[in-house]
Order: sequence, then structure tokens, then C-alpha cells
Amino acid sequence: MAELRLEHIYKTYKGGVEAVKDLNLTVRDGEFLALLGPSGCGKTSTLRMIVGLEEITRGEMYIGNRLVNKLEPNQRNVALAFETYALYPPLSVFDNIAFCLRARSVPKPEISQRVKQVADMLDITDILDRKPAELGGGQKQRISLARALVRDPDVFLMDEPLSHLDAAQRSHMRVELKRLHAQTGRTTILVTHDQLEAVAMAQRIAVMNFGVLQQVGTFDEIYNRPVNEFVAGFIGEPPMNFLPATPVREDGTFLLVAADNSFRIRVPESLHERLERSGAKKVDVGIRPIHLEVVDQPADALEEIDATVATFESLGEEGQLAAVVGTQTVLAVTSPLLRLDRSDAVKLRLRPDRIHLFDAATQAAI
Amino acid sequence: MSEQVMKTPTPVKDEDIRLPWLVRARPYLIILPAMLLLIGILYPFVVGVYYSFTAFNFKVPDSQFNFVGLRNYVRMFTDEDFLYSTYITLAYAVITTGVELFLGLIVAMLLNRDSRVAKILTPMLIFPMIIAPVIGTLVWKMMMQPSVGILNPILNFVGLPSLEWAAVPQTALFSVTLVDIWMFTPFAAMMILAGLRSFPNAPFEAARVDGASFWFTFRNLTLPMLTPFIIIIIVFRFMDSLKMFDIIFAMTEGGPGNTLMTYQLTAYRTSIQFQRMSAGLPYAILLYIIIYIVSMYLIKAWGRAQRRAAGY
Repeated sequence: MAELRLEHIYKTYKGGVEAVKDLNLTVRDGEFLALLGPSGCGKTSTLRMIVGLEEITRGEMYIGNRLVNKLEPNQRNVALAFETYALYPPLSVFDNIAFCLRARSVPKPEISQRVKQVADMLDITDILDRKPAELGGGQKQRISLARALVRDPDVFLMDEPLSHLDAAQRSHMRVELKRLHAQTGRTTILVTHDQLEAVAMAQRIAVMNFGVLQQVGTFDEIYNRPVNEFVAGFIGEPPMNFLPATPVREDGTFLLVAADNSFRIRVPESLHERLERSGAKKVDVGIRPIHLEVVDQPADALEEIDATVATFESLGEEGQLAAVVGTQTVLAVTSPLLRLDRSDAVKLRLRPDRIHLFDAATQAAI
Repeated sequence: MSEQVMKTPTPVKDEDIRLPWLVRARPYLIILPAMLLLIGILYPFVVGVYYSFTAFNFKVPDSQFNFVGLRNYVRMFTDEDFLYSTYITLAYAVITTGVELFLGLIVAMLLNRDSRVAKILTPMLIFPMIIAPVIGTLVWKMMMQPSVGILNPILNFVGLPSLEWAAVPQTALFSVTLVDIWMFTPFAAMMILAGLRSFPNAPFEAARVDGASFWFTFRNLTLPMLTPFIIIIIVFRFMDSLKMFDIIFAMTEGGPGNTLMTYQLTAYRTSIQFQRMSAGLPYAILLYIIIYIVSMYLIKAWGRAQRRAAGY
């Protein structure tokens, strides 16, 4: 077990593609961290650099206090569960899992005991003498996890470990992996594009985009205080709404006026100082769908905006409303019991304490 | 309704649905080339088997009708040189196939990397293969020549004594297998290289992360995955060298004495040179049976190895 420290890590591929740019990240000893981002954001390149399958173009990487830049994968003592499973085709499931133990000359009785233990945990005891090609995707994925788990690595990495499992297996494995981490206390990095996985398992989440680390923090921090529009829009389902607006002082009231003049709302008290200090000329007002409320009785005109229903779907436990505000479409999560039809006029209230402001020029949070 | 009278349909006769003759003949036309080829292969084979039961001799008229039963086979098996001939046939095949496989494996492993040297050397592999075996052998024969050949000076230069190469029984087998190995190791190397290049990357990356050494990965992963390719090489090279004629004939015509008289050379010398057609044929037929059995076995093993390598 060890701390993993990445200092100013760059990865530039032949041909000049910059997959990772100036990545600074510390994964604490025993921490479960999720590396989250859309496809092509550099998370897999980062993972491959940590494991040692990809050369580090620039920067320094430490496992424990050991500089590992120039170390071969087998010298780093890290385990990786590949997304593509990367099973050894000619070997049986047992031999696949035992491979790394045999490679390290672990005594035979210990090998079979450890393989059996991890096979039990992943529920693959009955397929130990089968060959990989006979198995389904979910089974292969569990073997690939078993192969990484059977070792005693300093850092344990998983690349999209649940992507090929069905829904039931997935929620089961989420619990298993979390329990496993709690048991072993291993430094663990989960690479995923699925925020649900990251939220469910990891203690901290690192969000990446275009090779740049956007924000690291607990889910709470990332969800409630996103540093920019990308993080705000990437975390949360359905995604946050953004409405372009201009801050205006009018008769002593600090207002946000829509770019298309479709609404005027009051700047929440708590944001006054920061908005002024930022000096942003144009802002994007961010509000999550669950913080947009359909109001029956208009109360405070400066908290509400006028909208027209585009679609309304009752999904059983909740309703999803898509409404047009000026030239923008916003999403709101509502009660499923509303009766709304296309073209109905509605008033939507933005919960003032839940409004996020972003500088339209830099997309950074204000 | 009134106009329409229900009539029982007249039964369709076979003649009515007759297709144009060209359409009917098409299936036979399509397999005609294969049939011709089959006849071209089967006829000489059947005739050859038949002749082996006669006393056919080119110099004796109508001797091809002189049926003698198994006499030719009995003579072959009781010939004092038969065991030696068997030994030299198998020794040649086993040595060349084995060494070519081993060297091919090493060459392929060395070339299977993303380096400039590998890029330049890989196409050069086919050089020995584009030379006709007889010509390649004759060039080797010149190099082995005691007075003007270049090989002995090279041996002397590194401190080894001169050899008399194929001129003496002691080194005759070594000399011809050397030429065969020079000529066909590239084939083995290219097959192995094709195999290595076809492998997915991920399992080998996993092995690196798993901390496996080069040898451990080679034994447990590379070799099992290569087995189908290795068996293909054995099928081709073993069958080919069991019936090898060009190199041995061009080098020594089977000599010195009977040192290199394999089945193939014996069959040729008896049937063609001595014109005793039926006496040489049993060697060819025995060779056929051996090759047939060995190749059947190898092809089965190939199927198994391929399934194993693919992960079944």
C-alpha cells in the first residue's frame, strides 16, 4: 500500500496528440479515487502511465516515495483490471488468475488457496477450469478483476471494471468492490465514464476533460461547488441547465437579465460579492433540473422565469419537463402528478440558494 | 360467375419444366476443372500402385503386364540398405525441420519489435526463398569446394580445421541439411513472425503488469499461442524434407556411396536411372503412406492447438 503522487505529468503521443496536460494528482494511501471523464479525456492514458505501459512524456510520478518514471510495470507492483479483460487465451480461468502468483514463484498450496479465495468472492468458482473464449463478457470481466485482486499490489487500478456487466451484476459488484476496498485498505483508482459508479464507490472523484484535470474532490464538493461549466454539466443527471445572462444594477437591485431578454432574476445575496469581484460582463446561470420548481402561485417575480412546455414525461417516480425559455430549452425534474401539455405557459422558480454562476468568457465558476 | 367454369388443372409433366440444356449441364461444367485435375492426380497414382505389383522394366517389352504380387515390396523390405535408407530419410527430415523451427523462432522473436533494424531485415528474409533450390545448392557446392570454395578459409580463419563437406560420408548429411536450413529457416521465421504480429497486445501487457519475466511469458503465453503456427511449419517442412530431392541430388546425387540415399533418391535411381520402374515404386508409395499418416496426425493436432490458442 502506498500513496500515489503525479507531479506535472504530460503525455504527448507520436504525431503531437496531447493526451494528458500538466496533471497534478495525489491519491492518498488507502484511498479509493475515481478518475471520471468522457471518452478521450485522457483518463486511460493516465492509467496506462501509472501502470507503466505508457511512457511519461514529462513530469514525475511517485508510488510511495519511489520515483517510478523509468520503472517497468513489473517493478511498480501495481495491479490493473483491463477494460478489454486481456485474459490469457490459452490458459484456463484458474491459470489466468494464478499467472501472476506463478510468475512470482509463490508456493503452490498458497496459490490454490488465494485463487480459491478470490474466486469465491467474485463467484466464479464453478468456471475455474473453463477457457476464456467459452465465457460471457460478465464472467470475463470478473476473471480480469480476480486476476488483479489475487495479488497484493501497492496500487490497484480498474479500467471501466463494470462496463460489461448487466444491471444486477453491476450493483452487486459495486457493493463488492467497495467492501473489498474497505477490507484491504488498498490504494485504488477506478477509471470510469459513468458518474454513478464513481459516486457509488469512490471517496474522491477526479474529473478530467481534454487531457486536463478539472477538479478533484468528494462528490459533495464536485456536485455543489463545481469549478467550471464542464464539471457542472458532467456531474448530475439530468445535466445542469445553463442560461446566458448579463449582470445589471437596477434601482439598487443586483439583477441577471437574460441575453434574449426572456427573464430577469435577482442575484442571490451570497453571490453578490463574488460576482462583483470577478468583473464578469456576461455570465451563464447554472441551475440543476431538480432545483427548478414549477410554481402554481407566482410569489416573487425576481426568482421566477416564464417558460413554455415543450414536452412533459411522467416517469412514475418523477416527472421530466422540457420547457422553452426564450431561445433556450431547460430541463426540470418535477412531481409526476403535474398535468402539463405542450405549449402550456408555466412559471419556473430558480431556488436562489442553488444558483451557480459561471463567467461566460472563461466558463469558470464565479 | 356464370362465365367462369372451374376446371381441374392439367398435371404438369416433367417435359414441361425442362430447363435449357446449358442450365442443366451447368453443375457438371462447374466441377469439370476439378474432375480433370482429380483425374490428372489419380491416374498416375493408381497406375503407379499397379506398376508396383508388376515387374515393369523400361527395357523389357510388355513387362508392365507381368504381375508379380508383393515381390517388389518384399525386395524393398529385405534390401540390406533399406534400414539405412529409412534412417537417412527420417534423419534429414527431423534435423532440418527441428533446426529450422528453432532458428525460425529465434529470428522471429528478434524481428518482432518496432525497430529500424527489424524493418530492414524482415523483407530480406525471403532472399533464400526466391532462389531455385537446385541453384542455391549449386552455389553452396561451389562455396564448399576444397580448392576455391570460401567456406574452408572462413573455418580456418576462426581457427577450425577444413572440412571435406559433402565429399565424405562423415559430413555429407551435415552439408545437405545445412543448405536446407539456410534455404527454409526464413520460411519458419516468417510464419512465426506472422503469428506473433497477429496476437492481440492486451494479454502481453497484462503479463507485464502481472510481473511475468520474458521467459515466463514466453513459456506460458507466447508458445501456446504460437503452437498452431509451429504445427503448420512442421506440416510443411516435415513433409517437404521427407521427400526432399533437389538439394541432395544437386549436391551429391545421393553419394558419397549410398550415404544420402533417402527413399526419394532410391526410388529415382531405381525407377528412372536403372529404368526398373516397378522396383523403385514401393519406396515412393511407402513415402506416400508415411507422409499421409504424419500429416493427418499433424493436421488434427493443428486443429486442437488452434482451439487451445484461441482460448477454448
